[in-house]
Amino acid sequence: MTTKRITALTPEQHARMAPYAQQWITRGWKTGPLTEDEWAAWEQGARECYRFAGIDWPGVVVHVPSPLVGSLAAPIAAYRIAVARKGGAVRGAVRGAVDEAVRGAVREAVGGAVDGAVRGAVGEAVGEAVDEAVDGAVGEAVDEAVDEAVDGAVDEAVDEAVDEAVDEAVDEAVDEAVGEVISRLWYYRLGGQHSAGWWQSYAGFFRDETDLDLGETWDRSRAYDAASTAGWWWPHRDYVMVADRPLSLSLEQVGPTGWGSHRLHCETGPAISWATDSLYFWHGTQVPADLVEGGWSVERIFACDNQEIRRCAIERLGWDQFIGDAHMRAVGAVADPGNPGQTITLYELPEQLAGMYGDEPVRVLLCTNATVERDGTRHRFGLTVPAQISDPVAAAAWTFSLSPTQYRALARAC
Amino acid sequence: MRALAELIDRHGVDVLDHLDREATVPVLAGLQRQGDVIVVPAKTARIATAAVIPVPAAGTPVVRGESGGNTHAIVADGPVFCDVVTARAGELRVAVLTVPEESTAYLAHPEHGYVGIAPGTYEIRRQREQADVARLVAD
Repeated sequence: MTTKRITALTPEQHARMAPYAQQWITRGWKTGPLTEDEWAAWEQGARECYRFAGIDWPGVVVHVPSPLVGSLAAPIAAYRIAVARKGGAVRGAVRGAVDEAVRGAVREAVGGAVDGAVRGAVGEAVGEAVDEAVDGAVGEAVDEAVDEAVDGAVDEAVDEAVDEAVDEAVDEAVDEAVGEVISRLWYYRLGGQHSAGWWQSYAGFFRDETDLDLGETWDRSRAYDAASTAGWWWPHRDYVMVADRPLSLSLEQVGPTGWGSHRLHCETGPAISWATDSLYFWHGTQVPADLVEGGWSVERIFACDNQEIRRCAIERLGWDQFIGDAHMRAVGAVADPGNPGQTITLYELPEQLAGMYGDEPVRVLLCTNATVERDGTRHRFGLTVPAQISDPVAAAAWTFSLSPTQYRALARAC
Repeated sequence: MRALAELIDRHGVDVLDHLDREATVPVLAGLQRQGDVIVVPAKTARIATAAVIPVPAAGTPVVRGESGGNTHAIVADGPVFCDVVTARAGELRVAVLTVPEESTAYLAHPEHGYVGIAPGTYEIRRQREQADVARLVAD
């Protein structure tokens, strides 16, 4: 007897949700180029996706090293193919006619993209079938424990960040005609390994961990899973273009499992890299490579007009270094409670940096660790506090939501 | 009062090798700070209820390090109770700790060493800065 509907999860199935989510997360975080066998399995999945979408397999598979390369190459390829079909009419036409010819080629290029048909056949069809077969409360439980966990660690943390970065890079694409087709077509793609949250891990849970029988729907979902083991892919009538996995990935956990759990961050190099290009992130904010690689000087920081990036640059430099280099004015210095021999100093933030932390003006409290480093020195770091505070002890107390009197009673710090 | 070396042996949280393992760790009932985490006595924190979840032999992590950094964990000498609070934006409290008479709790961290906590109930809080508050408001 097969199960066609799920109205409740067993305790064993409940216990499986977190480990199942972890499997998808591990898969989403995988790095290194695909092996020949992995590409063969990927291609088998992609073929099946075309079959379910009712579209002939084009027989041309193009591997590209990164999502950025694919985002530029796939639309250009589609455009060139469309132009060739029109017998090269775009070249040599006068201005008005060129616009119309370009628009026509763009329309045809867009028409050649079949990601929508594929997504419908192996994505939406699966999502809808599972939704119908699963009781609301059960669906919500799995959504929270599986889908959101994978979303926070993979989709939101990686895919969205890369998407924004590529979007910006595409905006900078040069030639008008080509630029237009790129900006219209680059996102006609399917998600790859970093897009596992949403329905994929959710549907997968019911497919792999319960005995819900949805027949061919499961074959469709398996085909899409196999075709999601590499990077973004662009299905087109005449070719399939697919990006390889990143070579490196660096994330930090900033919250509990679920939405917002992870973000891209690396202090020593790119946060995510491919053979041809890299992206740098500082605690989830995309930053220029040199901010991380060499670090920025005070002049460079002042010259930057993006507040978020300025903050990243100062954090990278360290407040103690920045305070010295920027000749910030000290408002007061006192003995650090519980930390004999050490001082805490409150500094005024330079005019040019006003507004760096939103509407509330800040001052910076420079503190020294109570414990020494291996080399005998002490690490110094800065904390931003509300500018209305003038007493360093009151500032330190504020950071722990204590009154100055309470904080002065600190018995020991380490 | 126990020396750091003995505490490492008993509770398993090792510390960086340049910390003085012969140093004794005071056991105190007042306000104590370990890096960016503070232990606040119940009277100051205005807590009425005691913690109830027993601290296991392996310890109870109360603040996990960011970017693969180190964790602050409570370890127990005798029965000790520590209720970890679900992380919420804007909330500084990370746990409520209750140390019964005859027991001692330690807040252990590989870079900062051990903090000895005498019988009583406490709130364990993490540090904030204005940048965090601004980020919260922006969200």
